[in-house]
Amino acid sequence: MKYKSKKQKWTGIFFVLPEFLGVSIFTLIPFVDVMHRAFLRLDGSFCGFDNFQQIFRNKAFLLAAGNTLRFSVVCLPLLLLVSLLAAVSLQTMGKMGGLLKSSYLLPMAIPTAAVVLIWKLFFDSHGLMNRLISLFEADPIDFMNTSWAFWVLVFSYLWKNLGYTVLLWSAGLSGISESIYEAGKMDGANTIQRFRYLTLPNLRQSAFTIVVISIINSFKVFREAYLVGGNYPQESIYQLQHLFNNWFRELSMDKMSAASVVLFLVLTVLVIGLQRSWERESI
Amino acid sequence: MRKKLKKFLAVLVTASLCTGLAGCGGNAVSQPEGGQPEDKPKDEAKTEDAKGRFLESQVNLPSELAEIMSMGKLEDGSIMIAGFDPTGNYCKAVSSDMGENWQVDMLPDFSEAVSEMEILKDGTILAVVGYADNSELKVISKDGQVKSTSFRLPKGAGEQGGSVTTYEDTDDITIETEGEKDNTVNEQENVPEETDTLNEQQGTSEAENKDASEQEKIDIDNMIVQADIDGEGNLIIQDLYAKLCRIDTQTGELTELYNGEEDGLDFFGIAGERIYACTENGMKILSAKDGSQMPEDAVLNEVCQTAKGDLSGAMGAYPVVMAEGMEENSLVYGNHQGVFYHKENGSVSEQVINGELTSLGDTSMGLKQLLMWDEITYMLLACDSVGNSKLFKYVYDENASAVPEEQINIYTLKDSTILRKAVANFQSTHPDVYVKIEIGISENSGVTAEDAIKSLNTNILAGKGPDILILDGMPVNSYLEKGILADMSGILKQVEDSDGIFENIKQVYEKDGKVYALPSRFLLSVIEGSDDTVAAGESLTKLAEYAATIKQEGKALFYSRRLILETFYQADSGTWMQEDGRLDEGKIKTFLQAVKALYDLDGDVPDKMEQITVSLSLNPTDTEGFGSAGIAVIGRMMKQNEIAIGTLGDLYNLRDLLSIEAEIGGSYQMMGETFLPYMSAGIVKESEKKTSVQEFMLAFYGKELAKSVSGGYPINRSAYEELWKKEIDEPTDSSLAMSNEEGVIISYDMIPLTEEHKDKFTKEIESLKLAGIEDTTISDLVIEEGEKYLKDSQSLDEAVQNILQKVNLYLSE
Amino acid sequence: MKKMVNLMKNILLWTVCLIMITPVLCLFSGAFMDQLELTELLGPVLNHTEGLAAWHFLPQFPTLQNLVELLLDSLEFYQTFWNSLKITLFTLVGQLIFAMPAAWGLAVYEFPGRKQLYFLYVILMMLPFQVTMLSEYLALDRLQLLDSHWAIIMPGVFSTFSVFLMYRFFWGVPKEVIEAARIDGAGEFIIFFHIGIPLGKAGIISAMVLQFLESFHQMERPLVFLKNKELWPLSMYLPEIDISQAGFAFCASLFALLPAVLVFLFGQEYLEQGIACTVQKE
Repeated sequence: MKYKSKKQKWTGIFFVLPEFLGVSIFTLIPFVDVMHRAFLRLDGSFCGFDNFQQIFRNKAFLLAAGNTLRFSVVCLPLLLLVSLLAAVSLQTMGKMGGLLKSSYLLPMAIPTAAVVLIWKLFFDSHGLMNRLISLFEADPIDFMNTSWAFWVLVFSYLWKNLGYTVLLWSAGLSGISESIYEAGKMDGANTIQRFRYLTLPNLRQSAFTIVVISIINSFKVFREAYLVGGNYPQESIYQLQHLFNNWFRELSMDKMSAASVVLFLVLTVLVIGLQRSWERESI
Repeated sequence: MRKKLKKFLAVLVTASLCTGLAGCGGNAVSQPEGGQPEDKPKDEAKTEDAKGRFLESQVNLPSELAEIMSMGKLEDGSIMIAGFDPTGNYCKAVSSDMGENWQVDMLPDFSEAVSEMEILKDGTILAVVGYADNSELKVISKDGQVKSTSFRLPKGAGEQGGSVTTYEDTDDITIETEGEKDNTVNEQENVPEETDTLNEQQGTSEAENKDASEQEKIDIDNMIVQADIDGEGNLIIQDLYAKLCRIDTQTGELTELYNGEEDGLDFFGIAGERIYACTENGMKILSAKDGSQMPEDAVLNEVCQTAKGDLSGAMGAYPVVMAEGMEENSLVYGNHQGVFYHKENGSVSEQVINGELTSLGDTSMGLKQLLMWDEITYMLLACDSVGNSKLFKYVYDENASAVPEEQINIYTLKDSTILRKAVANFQSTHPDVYVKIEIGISENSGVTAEDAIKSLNTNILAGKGPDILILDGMPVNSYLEKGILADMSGILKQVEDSDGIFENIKQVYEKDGKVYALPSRFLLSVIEGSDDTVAAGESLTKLAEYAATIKQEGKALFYSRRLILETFYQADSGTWMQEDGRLDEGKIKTFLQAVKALYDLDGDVPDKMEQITVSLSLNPTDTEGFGSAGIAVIGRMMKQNEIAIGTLGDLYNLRDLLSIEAEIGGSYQMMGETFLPYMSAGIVKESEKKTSVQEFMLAFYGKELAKSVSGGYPINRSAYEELWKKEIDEPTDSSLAMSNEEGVIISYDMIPLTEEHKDKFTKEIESLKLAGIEDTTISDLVIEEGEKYLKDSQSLDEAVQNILQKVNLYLSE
Repeated sequence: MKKMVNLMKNILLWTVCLIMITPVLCLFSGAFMDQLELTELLGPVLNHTEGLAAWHFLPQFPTLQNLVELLLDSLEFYQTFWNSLKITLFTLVGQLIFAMPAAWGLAVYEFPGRKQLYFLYVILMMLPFQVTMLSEYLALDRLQLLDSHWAIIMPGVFSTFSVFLMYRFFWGVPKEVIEAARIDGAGEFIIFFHIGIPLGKAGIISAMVLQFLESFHQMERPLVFLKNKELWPLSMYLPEIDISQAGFAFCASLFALLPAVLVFLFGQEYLEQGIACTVQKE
């Protein structure tokens, strides 16, 4: 036994090592370097937590962080909810459901540049959306230059990721065996109760995966924002990535590193939290 | 089953699409990527030994010779040069000690001008006299005996159509083709400032007219564009119609060797019995005896290709100069990348002399003739951008290191002839230092300024940055904030003590007695027009009001939204920064309002116009030190616009302006108390101790460089004074004329500049207190939003808000 | 009542479907419109003329002009398309070589640090690119990989996202099967090849599908790491097409869309399966 598990250990490490080496070179070590720089001034001298103090007083950082946070808080629950409902509804629709599901996936395949092209068409102040609005005799909305831009971004995020999220939920749902529902029905639970006490708990595992993936995707929204608004877009869609990009160009490595560390910590806390509540297995 | 089918189809389609596209993509990839010959010629010497290099030195020229037309090596080992003296008389000079001492002799006087001169091994000089169809070939023997032969150039009327007109009585030759003489020709006038000065002296496409009565118009059909001699002493010429011909010196018989109808002909070179003709389809190698074509040479084809981008050629100078090598069937050629030795049909050329280390790298230098004197010596005849002849000698020193140990790296966003000249000058006085120029945005690379700056920043952070930065177009403020730049006040003090600099400009850049960045040159923003106009030019709002009142009478012509925004941005932005580091909202608002009011006066500018002029202003070579006021004032003269606003780039601009005012009245004034910095530089902190860096900067802000380049006014006072002195003492006498759209010809004489002009102008410069905001991030944002406002895609308030929001966001980062 | 709810459900779902595919329909129809029609429809947006933009889902004057221009005339499109494919292909292969064993190792073997490593991988994959941008740049520079496709491929190969996805699936492989194989005397590697991979096929493919999308569409790395325009991937080329060439832009977008759609078609069932199997294990 002992021999076996030792061999197991080493085999495991052997499988993992090459990847780990690569990750170290291209991601890990660079990140450690960033963490290191967070405590240095630009000329290399140590400065403790000065940089952190600096960024928390920096207006641009606060704006960007606020926007990014606001975006996540708005989008994630919205996406999860809508996609879950859609997945549940589609479940019972058989073939038609399958077809709909496939169509929902389509947006994900569209390259960002094309998306931005369509955006311009629709959301420009002279665009197609405004034509739609004018049909209702309402005033045209300047989507891109006002805080409406934020909602356009939200919409874009939902539009792009709904399909895949629905897919994930569907898979999760199909994993719940029918027998549980049978039992529930027999116990007299109605649809909503069945959903709340039977479906949801069984979806926890999927939820973890889905939330993680959705967070990653929420950062990707930067691409659209960048292509539409450039380095200094409308205030409400100015995100952390814009700031980082600009800091990079301006050589503000001290600020950039400190902000990276902060971001890292926030994500760590988040993931730990998610793991604790949703991921059942110990790893 | 259906699923399987779907899958199968998907795979099939994907595969075929991929292979199909890959096939085409493959072709795209395998296409030559416009290879640079710099890659090909490997400096074998460099890798094999670390020692041994050709060192450059300048040969003293006899003062009698104002300009050298040709040089040659004589059988007895002495060097002969031929040209003309300041009064236009032709002479020759011989030296047997490589230029230490010269024996000057006058050549017989010819009634007409000599267009070409060639020197044969035995000391005979071949001179082509006259430009006309019936040129005469004079063979002047060593002891002064002259034999004349006449010859006829081939008739060429067929190709070009129309005739060639020349004007006697001037040293300058004008070539006009029949056809339109419209404004577009004249827009070129100020564009390449540096070659323009050369052209002004030697005369090309400027339409210079004197009264018709003073001249005789001679219509000629053909003339010689380039001439050279082959190994046997025959004259080989290129005519206007891309033909190469050999002229027998005894009989004057003309044999056509090559007809460029199909492939064209840019220029040619000769080595021994082979002619190398640079055509549109590569380098053609022809026999000098009968013009038969020899197999092509891939290396030379590439040399020919690169030559096409070289603009330094002017009368008598060529992008590539060629000569016979010492060994059989070998060729040496020189261009701005250096001098190369090439064995015929060899696969590589050996770089013998590195252009970067010598004056060859100075792209403003025109190369005229190259000679391989012996195994260890080369001679190069060249002329600088103002037409002075220079003779360079390159001697191999086996103890000099192949690449100088010490290296200075200079980074610039865009290529600049001024920088290249500075480097070439420095290299010649410091042969032990290798100055390497790194260009952020090279032509056709599609790299944006932002990307270039990102890469640069990363390198700086990684400790691999350059020693010196040319700061034009860069985020100077952030560099200052981050402490990247070193204090230059020590160096500047030296310049101040020896030559003086414009204090008011320096003060703008001084922080606590330290100066981290400083422009070496500057441009001025002026408004010119009637007295009312100039009075209104005091402030943008006044100007807008005034413009509204004259709307009935005429219109202010601005070529494009971008140009008008840029122009006023340059004039006004100096006043925008508040104490707290944010932009002044009121000033921005006024700025936009005024610009819009002025823009609206024009009525709708068709978008096509927008395209043309936008590309004009973005073209780097065009705007190097570009003085746009010149064009604007000419426009005023042509009654196209009432108000002329633009930048003044040098004394010629000023002279144009004053001359036109003398003709039609008006005055000018500086706008916004602002100057526009140009060619700013800074030293990267890590490198501040390097002596070579300090010396380079000393020279960069020094008098020699400042007075030998054009584009902007030098901050170096001595140079400034000398430039004025030259203009006042030796004014180029000429007049200009152009016709407007209706074909009416308007002309004016260039008035000479006087001390009074100088005093007034200098005082005006000294009164300037602000620098236009250099930061391109801000200017880009302002102009982008401004354009939208001008186009009416957004309102004034929106524009102001957007600008403020974005710029303040930028500033707060 | 139930019928009402059902009807509502259906309407909603179909409306969503419509919203999803409208942009693609726009691309489709726009790709076959000629410049005149496009200017007429899109003038307000492009040239800020008065009025509002309009659209015809069926082109009034259908033309193949854009298609021709794309397929025959535009070298850059081919070049960038090929670049994108090349980068993506190499990345996928690299991931199969490195990420797959790593996921297997994490899932099946217990070794010290396993938990922490997994946790680390998750966090790393969530960090947006900008965070490590500079350091990655410096690392690539030292390895002299900058301004070459490897600068994009290598970091992509070692993206921990795939490990995450594949891990979750490998975790679902029944331990008994592995044990049985071991008892039969099979070496670990053989187990991996002959049991792990076949059973994990769905998970692997779904990871590859997602990675394909990610790789094909990525923008941030090329933007910073590639200077030479000839190396650009499609995702960088498309934004360069000026909107005044709308027809051409639409057509190009359509073609850029194709590979992803095909990949989706091919992999959709695996995507579903992949996650399903993981979950079933609960």
